[in-house]
Amino acid sequence: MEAKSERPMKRGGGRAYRSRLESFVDFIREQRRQRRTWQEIAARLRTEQGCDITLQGLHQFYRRHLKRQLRSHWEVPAARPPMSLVAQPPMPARQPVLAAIPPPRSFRQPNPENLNLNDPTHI
Amino acid sequence: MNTTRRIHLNPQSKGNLGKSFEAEFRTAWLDRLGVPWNGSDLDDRHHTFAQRHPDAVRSYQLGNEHESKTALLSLFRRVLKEAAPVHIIDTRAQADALILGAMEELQVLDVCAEQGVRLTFFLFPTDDTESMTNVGKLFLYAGDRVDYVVVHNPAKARGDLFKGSQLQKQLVEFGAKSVTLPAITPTTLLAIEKAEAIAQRGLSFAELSHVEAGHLERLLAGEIQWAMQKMLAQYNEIAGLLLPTEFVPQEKSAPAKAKVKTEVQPQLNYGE
Repeated sequence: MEAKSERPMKRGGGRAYRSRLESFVDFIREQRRQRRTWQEIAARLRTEQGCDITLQGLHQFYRRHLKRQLRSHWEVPAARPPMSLVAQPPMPARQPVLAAIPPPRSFRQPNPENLNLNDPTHI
Repeated sequence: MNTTRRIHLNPQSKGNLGKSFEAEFRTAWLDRLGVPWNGSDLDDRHHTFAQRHPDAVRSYQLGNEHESKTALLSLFRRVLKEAAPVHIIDTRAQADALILGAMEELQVLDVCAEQGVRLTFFLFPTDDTESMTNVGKLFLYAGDRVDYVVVHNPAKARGDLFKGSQLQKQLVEFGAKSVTLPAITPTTLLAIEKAEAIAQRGLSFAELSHVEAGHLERLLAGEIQWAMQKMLAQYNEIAGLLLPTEFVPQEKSAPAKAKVKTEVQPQLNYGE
């Protein structure tokens, strides 16, 4: 029984987006920036953070995490709200110069149907 | 509307209608009236108009469609800047589409109207259906934005297609007036060419009409004088279509009518 109680308790995990690594994201990111391998990071997680994880599990988790960052998800609070919801500073009223085209002309034209010539065959 | 300047244009496509011939009489009439004028010669083959009036007329090369627009833009910009009350444009054959296209694209008629400049189109009835269709197109395009002078040239065409036609009636309805060119004998016309060759320059009809100038024999110069007299009288009749408002001679009969009215008035009073 004692041996069983010595095993580390599972924290989270199993449920969608509830990985126990969620709370170590910043730690993992920092390690990657320092050019550490996944194996080194897994070892550090185990020794420094008390989170036992294989390097494959760590790698897959972080890859999924990065993918989720690219698209919004209902479970993840939006890091950056859409542009339409952001309170924009009021734009100065734009008064564009509209392109000019020849204005419609009002002038008297002859009736095109009344511009006939005499019939040459009856001259 | 007060017309401050006039532009005379003979935009018809067909050649050998007597367009330059007619313009010679018109310039002589303007000179006799003392109306300052200048002109543009778009006949890049002959340049007859410019050669006969080198001090007043500038030559232009119309060229192809693109070049013609540039040339006409230059021409109309110059004309609108100049102060001469009358500007005469003598065109070459087959240039009507180029001229109409440029006028439309540059909005020449609108710009002229804004500046009190009115155009007068000179139309030459012929026995050629294509040329007459061309007249109809010009008329349809410009409508009442320009004035029309119909120039009959019996030496070149009988005008059977036009006389009494619906086109003629419509033109009259739009205020068109007519003039008829006098027929000059081929002898005199050949003598003019010879005189110009001897003088090594173009000679205006006004110069040729002077016997003492020695360009033509007495009989031939006399024929030019006769033709000039015929044309000057006709231009006087239609001066309202040819001149800016301030240059149109006042009708002599108008004051006489007013005088009659004032004389009649006391008699009417007696009756009352």
